[in-house]
Amino acid sequence: MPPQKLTAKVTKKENLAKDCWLVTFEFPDDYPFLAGQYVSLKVAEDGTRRSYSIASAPGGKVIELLVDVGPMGAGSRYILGLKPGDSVEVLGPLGRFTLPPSPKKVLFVATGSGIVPFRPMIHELLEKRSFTDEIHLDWGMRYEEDLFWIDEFKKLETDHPNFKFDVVLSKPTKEWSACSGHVNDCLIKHRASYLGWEAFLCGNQQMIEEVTATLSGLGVRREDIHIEKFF
Amino acid sequence: MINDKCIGAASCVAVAAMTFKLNDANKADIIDQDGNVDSEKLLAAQSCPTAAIEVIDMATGEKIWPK
Repeated sequence: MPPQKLTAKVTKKENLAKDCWLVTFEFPDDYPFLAGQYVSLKVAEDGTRRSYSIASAPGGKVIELLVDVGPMGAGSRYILGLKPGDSVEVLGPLGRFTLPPSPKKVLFVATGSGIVPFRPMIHELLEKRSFTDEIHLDWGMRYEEDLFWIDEFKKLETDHPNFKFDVVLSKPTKEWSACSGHVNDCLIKHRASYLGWEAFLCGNQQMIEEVTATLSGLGVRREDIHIEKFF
Repeated sequence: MINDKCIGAASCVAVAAMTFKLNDANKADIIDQDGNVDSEKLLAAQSCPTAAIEVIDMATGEKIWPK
């Protein structure tokens, strides 16, 4: 679908964790898009826009956007000021960071809100496409209190034996028993080779550079490493 | 185009396809300065996540975007 400028209404706004807000928007009609795409919101009258990945699965009139307001820039201030019933100008859908028709074994690596485009992608693979090959999601965050959607991904892990989910904290408490450090360190611990895998990376520049180098050294072809650099 | 800033998000290509095209390095190039109407070119610039597109009024030299 070519991008269009449309007006949507805010129907719900929820604080998921410290700086992360999930905002639900409803369009007048069905809003077709592909899992992994993003939209551009007009956040100021002078035409300033901010891009946010769509956090919900395709289908219907509703989309969810997960916004980290930590940076406190124009987009953060706009999102914090929104309330149910407000109208927003949405340009989209945009972006080519989407699933191929027949992916290989899929590795998703995210830091921070880079997990957002992976949520609809993983739901699509597991629930719509009944994908049976391995899917692994590694999510790097700083603190445990920053986490969200944990129960949802844990349930997917329980319901789908081919899906594996790991959280990697760079600043864990003493009680944290799972992975710690950088996501890149954990990738190496998980597997000696990623030969035959396809990787999707979304997050900070350092992670993207480190993980690209690591995966290239562990057998992933450069053309099978897909990158979204919004950070 | 500020090539160093381009991350290949391709919003410009989606909004103004007759003006912008991604090259082999996944960076946007201008293929035809007059490929789209001014409003589409301005929206392409405004929707760029990294502000990699500057819009200049050719008649006055004034920078229209980013402000």
